Amino acid sequence: MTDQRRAEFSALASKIVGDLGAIRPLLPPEARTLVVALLAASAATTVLLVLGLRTDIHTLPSGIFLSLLAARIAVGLALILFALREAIPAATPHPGARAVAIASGFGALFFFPHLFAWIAEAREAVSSAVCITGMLAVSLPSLAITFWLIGRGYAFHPVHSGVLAGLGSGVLAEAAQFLVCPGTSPFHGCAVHGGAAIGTAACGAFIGWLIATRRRRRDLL
Amino acid sequence: MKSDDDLAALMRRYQEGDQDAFREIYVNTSPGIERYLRRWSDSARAGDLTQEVFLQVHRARRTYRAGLPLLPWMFAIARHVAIQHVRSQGRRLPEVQSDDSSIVAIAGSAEANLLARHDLGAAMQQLSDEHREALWLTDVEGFNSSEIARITGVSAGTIRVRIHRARQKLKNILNDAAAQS
Repeated sequence: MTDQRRAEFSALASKIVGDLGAIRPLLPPEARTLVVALLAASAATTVLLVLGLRTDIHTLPSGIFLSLLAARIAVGLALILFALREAIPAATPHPGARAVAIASGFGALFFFPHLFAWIAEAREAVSSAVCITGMLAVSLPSLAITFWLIGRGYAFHPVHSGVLAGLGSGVLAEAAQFLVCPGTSPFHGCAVHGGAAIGTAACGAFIGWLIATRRRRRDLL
Repeated sequence: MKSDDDLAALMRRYQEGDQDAFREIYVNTSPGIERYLRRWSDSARAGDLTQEVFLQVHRARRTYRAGLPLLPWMFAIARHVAIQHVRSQGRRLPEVQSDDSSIVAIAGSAEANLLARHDLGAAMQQLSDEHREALWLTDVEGFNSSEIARITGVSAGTIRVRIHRARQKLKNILNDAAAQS
């Protein structure tokens, strides 16, 4: 090592010496996505126990119903996975994959209700307020745990992570609400369920922006 | 320079709190990181940026997973620090210097016989930032396309296309210059 390099290393070492304890490497993003899935499943079960299964469940074609439910869960978990991968250097999803994931999230929120309206009898939802409450009861805890997991990583773009985490949490919440809400109107699905999910995504973007701003200030000091 | 496996083993020791392992990583990787950062900044600032990269490496050390190559992970952090620096300065990348010894590494894969007559540094300057970066990371730093994809956050296919087009464009520029002279 040259003298200059040695001096630079000494300066660097003095900055980190107090923070050089052993750390446990993060689990792979796939494994950490399961943590979010378990929490979302717990919250969804609670909502299901409080509000009950949708009243028209016996009249619905089970294959299509379960396929739409599974597709929502898959899209939601994929978005959460991407959000967590955003916080791992050299593992960030490339822009094309990110765009496909976000488009799938929007598809699940705004296309599936129209698809479902073709196959189910028209029924009104009980109450928009109940639906929004049920959605937030699942999406906000999922968003919180996802951000905690993102915070343990190192996100280059916290806003990207936040949008993906928020949209993923929103889609998972919509999947839970799909089990509860008997409303089949596309307007209700898009405006109430979709609106609540987009609100969660906006919340995620805002939190991501706050993290990015705080980090910029820290780096300036 | 140690092998990928050696560096990965050092990183595992560093994650266990071994300062000597961090020192070894610094000794082995800081020259390459600094050379890469000189693409984004002037030489004097590149030293400070290298320090910043290793601070960020320390903050991000939890995210390194055993079994993966260490250098793409470190270069991804270096690239992020460099982009933040360029944004904060509100300017483009500095020009490639024709006397930069690293140019020779690229010349090896381009038209080496033309290098003797033409300024490869000036030709490189005519490439887009994306093409130049892809060519640099493959020919100077020795990364393969999937490692560059991990560093830059785009797909490996995109990187292969960028490298191919960069080489093609470089060849055309050098051929044109040769024809004109």
